[in-house]
Amino acid sequence: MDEIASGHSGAWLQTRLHSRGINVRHLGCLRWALLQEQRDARVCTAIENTNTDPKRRQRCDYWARLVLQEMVARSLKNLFRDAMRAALENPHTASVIRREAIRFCNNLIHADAELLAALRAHLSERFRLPATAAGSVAPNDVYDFVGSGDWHPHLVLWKVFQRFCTLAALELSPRVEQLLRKQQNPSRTLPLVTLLALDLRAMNPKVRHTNIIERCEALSFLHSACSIFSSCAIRSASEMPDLALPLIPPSRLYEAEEHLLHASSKLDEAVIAMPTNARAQYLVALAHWRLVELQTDWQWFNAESQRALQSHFSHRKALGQQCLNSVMRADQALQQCLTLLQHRSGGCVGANPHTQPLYRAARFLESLLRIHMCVLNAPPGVNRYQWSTGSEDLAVLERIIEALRLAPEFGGPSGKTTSGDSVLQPTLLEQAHKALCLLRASGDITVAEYSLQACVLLAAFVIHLSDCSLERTSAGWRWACMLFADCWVCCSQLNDYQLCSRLERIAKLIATRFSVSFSYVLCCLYRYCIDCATTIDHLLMLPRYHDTHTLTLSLSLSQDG
Amino acid sequence: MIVFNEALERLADYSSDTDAGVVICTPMMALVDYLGLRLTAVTALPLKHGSMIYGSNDGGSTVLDSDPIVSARMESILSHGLNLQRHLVGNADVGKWLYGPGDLECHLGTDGRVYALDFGRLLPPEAPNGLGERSIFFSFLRKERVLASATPLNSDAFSNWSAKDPDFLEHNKHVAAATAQIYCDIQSFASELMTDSEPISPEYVDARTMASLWWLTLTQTQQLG
Repeated sequence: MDEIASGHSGAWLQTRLHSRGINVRHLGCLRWALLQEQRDARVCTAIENTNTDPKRRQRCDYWARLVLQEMVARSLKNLFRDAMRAALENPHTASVIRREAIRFCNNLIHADAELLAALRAHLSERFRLPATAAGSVAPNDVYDFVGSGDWHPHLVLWKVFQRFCTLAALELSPRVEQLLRKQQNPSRTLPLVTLLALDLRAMNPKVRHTNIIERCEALSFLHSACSIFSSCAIRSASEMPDLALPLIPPSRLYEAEEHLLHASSKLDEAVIAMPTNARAQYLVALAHWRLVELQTDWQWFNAESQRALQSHFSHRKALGQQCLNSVMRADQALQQCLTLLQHRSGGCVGANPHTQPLYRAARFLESLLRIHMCVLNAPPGVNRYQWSTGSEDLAVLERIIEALRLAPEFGGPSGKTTSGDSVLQPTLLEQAHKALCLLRASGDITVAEYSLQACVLLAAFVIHLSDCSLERTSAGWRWACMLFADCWVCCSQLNDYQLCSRLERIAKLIATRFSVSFSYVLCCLYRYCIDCATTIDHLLMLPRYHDTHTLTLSLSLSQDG
Repeated sequence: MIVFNEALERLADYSSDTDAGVVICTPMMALVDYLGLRLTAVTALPLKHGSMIYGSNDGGSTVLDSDPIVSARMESILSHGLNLQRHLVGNADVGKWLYGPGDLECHLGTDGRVYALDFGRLLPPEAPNGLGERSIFFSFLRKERVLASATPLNSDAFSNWSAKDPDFLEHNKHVAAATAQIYCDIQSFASELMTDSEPISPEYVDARTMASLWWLTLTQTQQLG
């Protein structure tokens, strides 16, 4: 069973429960119901004197364990928060807090008796069984699954630990999971794993917010659902259902599932709202029209069954990897380009913008931006990975990257504009920015795209800065600021610290260029984005920008003194 | 946060429908959990003293429902959109018939917009069930549950906010029934997990969902002719 259904997780369970209108606090009830099922099966077996279906028993064990695992992980998260609060009450430093977090994790791994007692009490309190419909109170679970000093009999420690880290937003080094997995193997006898301070990479804040983007995403769910159905209709030449789920990379299946459930509920809501809501009426009509049209296609698609889908997913995984590799190559080229720019301009990007290498680099980045915009402007339902897997665009990109790699000193500018205008026009940047906003609002964006986006926007910004004619009041400056902010948001969302540091470097270059302080540049950019929030495009960017950027900003300001 | 996030999303879907008249604005909110501490940030709104036009901000001593347009809009949003029950908030003589919780406030901002505030209790509570009487202030039904209820549910059920409502007990019964239904659904969910002939793998569940969505819409299309 584990092998078959190993894809299930706490997140999956949570989605399932929520879609049925059940809060997670009722997990105790669910566990009780599962155990009851198990008992009933045993009683039936005893009465009828027949063997219980072994698959059913396995299934019961599996689900009961999964539910328990989720309950334990959630309780651990709360205990961890209690521990952090307690640590903050005393005089503390960052290292004290980290030490406390590590101590908690080690107690968890070593099944510390005190922690287990607290855990058991917390489980009983939080997942207490309520009175039943008949008015009697069901006996509470005693949670005797943890013997003293031993986690292993009922729970898979590394899975609990993994889920706990996700819920508590703890980022640990990969070494920890490897060690825990090894330790779980009963055939080996290994010493207990003990985490070191270095194993704790980050303790991230969890930020949730109600913003315009989420609302736009909610409205776009219907569109996405329609896109999925549309793609069912698009049969590739080989009649494989590879294009069936183009919006969903395999690593985000859970999100996709939630996405689809949400789409389904949105459609229901739209149907309810039809008499009063003209927009919903339109969307529903559109959905109906498409769905009816796709009736026959769907039958075909359904008949293809799971085997074809399996191959589809493995294929998509490979595509995703290719895409990632491609983005990484682009990123490397960009790094080279930036180095080249800095080298040629004596460390300051804006010092000599009309030198040939700079111009070549600008051309390269412009091509990159154009390619990226092609991706952004792809109609819904089109496989966004296509560009990176053999399309002409990729070939162009690769040629450019190769040329740049092989000939950093390559000849004279072949296509320099006679008017001396900036290679990247403000209008082009404006288009890029709008496309980015649209993409973000569509709720259909992958990490790889974000990464590429961040690179391209960064590049665009650098190029703009390198233009000597750029004035602080010009449209170029305005859009460059917006792009810079976008870039910052992108890399914050990616937790890409390398990009973050590069952005900081760029900000410092701006400071040098305009003879202002680093903090001033950041403040200007930040304030600029707030001030600009008068159009829908800006508003789309603002809320997400708000929470990520204020944190980064305050951090940067404090570093800058 | 999750509750009001979802409710807000729904509120926003309806309130942003400009065809229906006045737009009810909601403040942007952010919640940051870090090291066991929680920071809630709300945007400052252009409000002033005496700007409230709907709801109560003093524990039910004064309940307002002074603007018929806003009142109609709230009815549309809360009753049709969230399946909430109309009920009497406050005393019988000075109370008002509202749809949302008594402490939900609507203000007319200095910029002419109408802002809704304090929707933490927008969704009805779960019936107190061995968790103490105070549980009605932090243990709410999920949006899906409220929408699925056959009868509209009272956001102020089991609380003194609507204790003077002549149908208070009846409303409590409806909420209790919705709460009891949760346990039935849990039971059926457990049975579903147990009896599934094939383990539900997340890789295939999207196809299944699509199938159910397709059948749903097909049926509705046929009904529409």
